[in-house]
Amino acid sequence: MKYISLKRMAALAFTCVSLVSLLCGYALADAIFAPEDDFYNSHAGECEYVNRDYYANGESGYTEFFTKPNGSSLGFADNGELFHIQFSYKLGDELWGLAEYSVNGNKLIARNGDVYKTAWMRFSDITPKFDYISFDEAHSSEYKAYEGEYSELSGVTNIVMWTFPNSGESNGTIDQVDENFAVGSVYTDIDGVQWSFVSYYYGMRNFWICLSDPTNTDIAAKDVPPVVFNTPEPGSQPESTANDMTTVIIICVAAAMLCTAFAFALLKKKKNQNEETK
Amino acid sequence: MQLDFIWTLLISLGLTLALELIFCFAVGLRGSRNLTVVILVNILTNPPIVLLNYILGKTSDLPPFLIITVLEMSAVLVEGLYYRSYGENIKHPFALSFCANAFSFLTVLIINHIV
Repeated sequence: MKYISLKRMAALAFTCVSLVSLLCGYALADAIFAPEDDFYNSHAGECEYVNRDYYANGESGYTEFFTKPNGSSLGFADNGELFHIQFSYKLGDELWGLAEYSVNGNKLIARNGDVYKTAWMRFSDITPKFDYISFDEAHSSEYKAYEGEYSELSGVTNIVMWTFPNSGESNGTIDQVDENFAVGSVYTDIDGVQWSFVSYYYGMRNFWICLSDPTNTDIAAKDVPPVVFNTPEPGSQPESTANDMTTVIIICVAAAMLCTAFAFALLKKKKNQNEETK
Repeated sequence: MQLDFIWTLLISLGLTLALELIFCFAVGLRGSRNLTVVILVNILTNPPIVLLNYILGKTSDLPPFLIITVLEMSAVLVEGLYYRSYGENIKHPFALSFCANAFSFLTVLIINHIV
């Protein structure tokens, strides 16, 4: 089309910054991945890093996605679909989250492979998946400081990294710990099993290990708070809440065409008058 | 669609007008009447084409290349008809319309590729 893509301008700016950074020998460790989103690119300084999973849970039974906060509607996801919110942006009193999604038929689903887009959704339409932050909020008063010397982990291989104590959900294993390994808080669950939180270890962040049984991969989920999803009315269809200005824009274009037609009519009249005078 | 789409329409129209006026002037089109016709035909065709391209791209499963080709060829036809009816001494109105549109379209493609 006859306009320059903002994405390409952003790509050029990013390339320039990258080149300058390289030339200056300047680099940032643990860089935050910046999404390919026009609104994010133009408001990056006002966005907050979130990096958490949220379930779609709109009140109507569906969750609407937008091009930008208060932007055009992109479609709907079914409640219960899990999305990873990378950044948030506050517009007025409303908080919006940025996520990647793919399309399956007429439904929006979590990012599936390399074919994906970005969209914004209202935080009031999503519910956080219980994770280490949620666990921290619920149990931080029960934490104690670790006072051992890591004898539980000495010589142990394949230590399981759990998302939080008794989550039943692991994020792989650590081959072995070395002198750089350090735990923060220790939590003892109702069965007397000890868990400890690790904020960082060789690029891996925010996980728990079971000090009492560090290599057991089969610790089942226990007492994980369930998510209550809003369900749609039987036979109901999702309805957009976007402030759609399509009709106004079509009227503006039609008005411009009418004015042009009027200008052509004047040209014709003038031409005819000129011909008559000749 | 949000109201800021108006900016997209205005930028597209401005760029197209600039490129097609440069092209028409370069190929020897002169006279205030002819240049007025160039401006008017672009105001007549460009905004609806950009708007239709957006709407069809969102609502149909047609390939983008097909949508753009059909819309651009429609623009060439309409602009050619207007050059023939309202222009002064334009010998090949449809060729002028085709070349001017091809020039602006390809120039923007190249700009997009470079940027």
